[in-house]
Amino acid sequence: MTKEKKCCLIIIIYFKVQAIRQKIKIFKNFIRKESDVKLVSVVKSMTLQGLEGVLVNVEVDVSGGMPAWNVVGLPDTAIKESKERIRTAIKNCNVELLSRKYIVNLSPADIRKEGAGLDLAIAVATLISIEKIKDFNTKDVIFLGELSLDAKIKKINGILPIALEAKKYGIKRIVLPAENAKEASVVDGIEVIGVNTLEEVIKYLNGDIHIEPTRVDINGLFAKNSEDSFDFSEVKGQESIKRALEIAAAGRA
Amino acid sequence: MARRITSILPDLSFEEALEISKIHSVAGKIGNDTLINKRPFRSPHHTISTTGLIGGGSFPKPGEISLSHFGVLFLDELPEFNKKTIEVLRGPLEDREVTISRANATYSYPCNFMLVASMNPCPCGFYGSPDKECTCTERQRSLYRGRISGPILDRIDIQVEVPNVKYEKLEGKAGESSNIIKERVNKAREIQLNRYKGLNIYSNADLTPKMIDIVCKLSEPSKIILKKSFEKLKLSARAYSRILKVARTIADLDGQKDIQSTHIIEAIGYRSLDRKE
Amino acid sequence: MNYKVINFEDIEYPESLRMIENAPKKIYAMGNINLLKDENISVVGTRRISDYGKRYGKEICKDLVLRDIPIVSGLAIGTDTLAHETALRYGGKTIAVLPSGFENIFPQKNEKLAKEIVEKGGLLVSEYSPETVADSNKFLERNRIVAGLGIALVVIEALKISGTSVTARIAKSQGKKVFALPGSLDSKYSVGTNNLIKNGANLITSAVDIVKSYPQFDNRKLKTEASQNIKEEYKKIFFNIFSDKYLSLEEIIKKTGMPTREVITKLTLMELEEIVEQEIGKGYRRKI
Repeated sequence: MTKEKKCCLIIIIYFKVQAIRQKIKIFKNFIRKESDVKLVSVVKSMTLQGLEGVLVNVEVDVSGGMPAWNVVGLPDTAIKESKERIRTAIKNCNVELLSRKYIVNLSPADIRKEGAGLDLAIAVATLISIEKIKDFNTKDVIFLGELSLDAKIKKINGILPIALEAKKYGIKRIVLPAENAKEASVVDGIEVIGVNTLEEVIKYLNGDIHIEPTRVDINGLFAKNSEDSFDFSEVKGQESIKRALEIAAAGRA
Repeated sequence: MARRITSILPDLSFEEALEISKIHSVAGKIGNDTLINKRPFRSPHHTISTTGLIGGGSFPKPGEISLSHFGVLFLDELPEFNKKTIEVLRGPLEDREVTISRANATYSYPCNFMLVASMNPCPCGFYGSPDKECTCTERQRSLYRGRISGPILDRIDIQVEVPNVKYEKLEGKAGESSNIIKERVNKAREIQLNRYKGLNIYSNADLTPKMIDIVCKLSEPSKIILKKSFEKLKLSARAYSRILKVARTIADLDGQKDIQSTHIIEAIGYRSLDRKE
Repeated sequence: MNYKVINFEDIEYPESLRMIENAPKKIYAMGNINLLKDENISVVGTRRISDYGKRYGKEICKDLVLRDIPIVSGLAIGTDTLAHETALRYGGKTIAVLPSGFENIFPQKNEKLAKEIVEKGGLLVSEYSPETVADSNKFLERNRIVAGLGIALVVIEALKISGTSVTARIAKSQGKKVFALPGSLDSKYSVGTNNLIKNGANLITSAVDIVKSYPQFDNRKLKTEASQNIKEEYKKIFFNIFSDKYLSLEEIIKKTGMPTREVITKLTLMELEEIVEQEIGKGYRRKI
């Protein structure tokens, strides 16, 4: 190879490297610009410690970088695994989830959170952060429910104490699985919105549909079927135990 | 038979019903009812684990004792239960609450339940039966009874012998209906509520030792009878406050202001398992 | 501790014991030593007595003490305890032969019973100095004295191979009559007694069979049981449980037709006055 040819090659390589650097710069700027627009979204939910409710703030931040989905803030295994459920559920209601870095924070961070009940709150927070849900004030609302892969919302345990505790925290509205709606509506002074699918939730929050709050007749429920199916009149003899049970009943709570 | 006891317990208040429903809700046992409006009756099988009975798990769930809050926990064949499982009942029976601690939190569930338990006189169940010879040895029998420790026995206020199956089938006069019994129970409860107004106590079962001295005053003859029975029947010392509480309740059922000797004697009659052999 | 040492040469030394081979050189006695001069009957049996043995053992012991015949046994658990207790309950006398010294009563569980025996005019006997501790050799040695102090030996129940059978053999070699209660072929607790009968022991079905063999006992009248001084208010219940059979609370309620609470109250009172007794799983029966 001649000396001139060598020089030419070096120059070409130099320009190529410069071009690549330029491209990276442009790409980086592009990403930064996009992520600057996104806000951290906050949605409330609740978890139980015994019969005590703890208000949980679900925060989701979307940023550029390596696509990832991280949950922080003492989640249990069921919540860690929620990543796959929630992403699939969102995908299955025809919302494209961009390949970004998603960080889900559950605060207060020092309390262990349990179960799949936070699924819906995380999904809603994610959807807000990618602006699929807009202009919704989530301040007085809590979201509860487990997601299935086909974006259905499944019932969870402990709804009644959660609703009671939520009322104490000044929560005005609960969005929860339709199956749980009746149970929660026993609590007076709180709006209970029963939902079946994630799509319904998106539409509801965007104001596209209206869902009537669930209500029950509390007094009717309480009075109904107080009759006991077992009665002492069916028991012949056995006087000694009858007397003992009567005393027991009279002396104890 | 034990199943029927909920039919003579006082009706639930709305707050009580709500509290029961809360616990059942956490345990995922609320089913199609939105509100549980009956006193629960739980009768776990004797193979139940300690966790199943008092609650637990990595995220503690309420156990059977909490599920029978404001109701009845019936343990059939008490000696067949794991001894350790029964022993852990001691705390909750006194505190009416069970607290489970985990690294990051403590969980408490209320468990104000009435414990009803049954047992056979011996492992084969035929001891004293007129129909069939009991095949158990003395040792087996005492081991069997020994499975229920003194402290647990101590917490059982009323011990009464129940006829075996054969007599259950026998004819007898039809009993009173639950509603009639319930009326008497309610009356006795009302007396107690009035008596304990402002004391943060609701029934005779809640009486503290100090309160017992005040509420369960005995006449001289009653004291003598009580003393005599402790000597003669070899009752254990811990039976003392139980007898007084039960006597107080019997007096309340009678509508009597003071405990009379017949009340004390009847209460003594309900401590057949307590006697030292 | 108030005991007496009786040497072989002493006049108090019981004649029936003196006659046996390897009779103890001296015995320690606590309580009513006059019993040593009485004509006693020894009652032995397995420690793990069955319900059947309990029922008839009690019956036999009761009928013996009601004829004023003292009962000798070994203070062990099971049959021995039953024999001592039955004797005391029916106001009879009883001698307990210990496999240990008086300071280390064996079994410990029966310490109270031993005390009661002394208090109620019975007697404790041991050939060991008070501080001696029981061991397995001493049981057999004890048994020869149990057999030796009686004029006859009654075996309630015995396993196929057991100390009880050995005691029966010792009694036979001492020239004592051996009586045995027959039992079901199915019961392992009666294998020993059935074998004894096969080998020449006297079969008994009640205390009468024993008493008939001894003219000195035969004319002893059965003491009537003290059931006259029952208070009027208890009579209605009492006459319903006027047998040795246990009646459950439920049956008593049914038979008397009295309200439950009244029956429970009366029964408890009667228990306090030791007119009736209660056993878990069986119910109530009269005690006198």
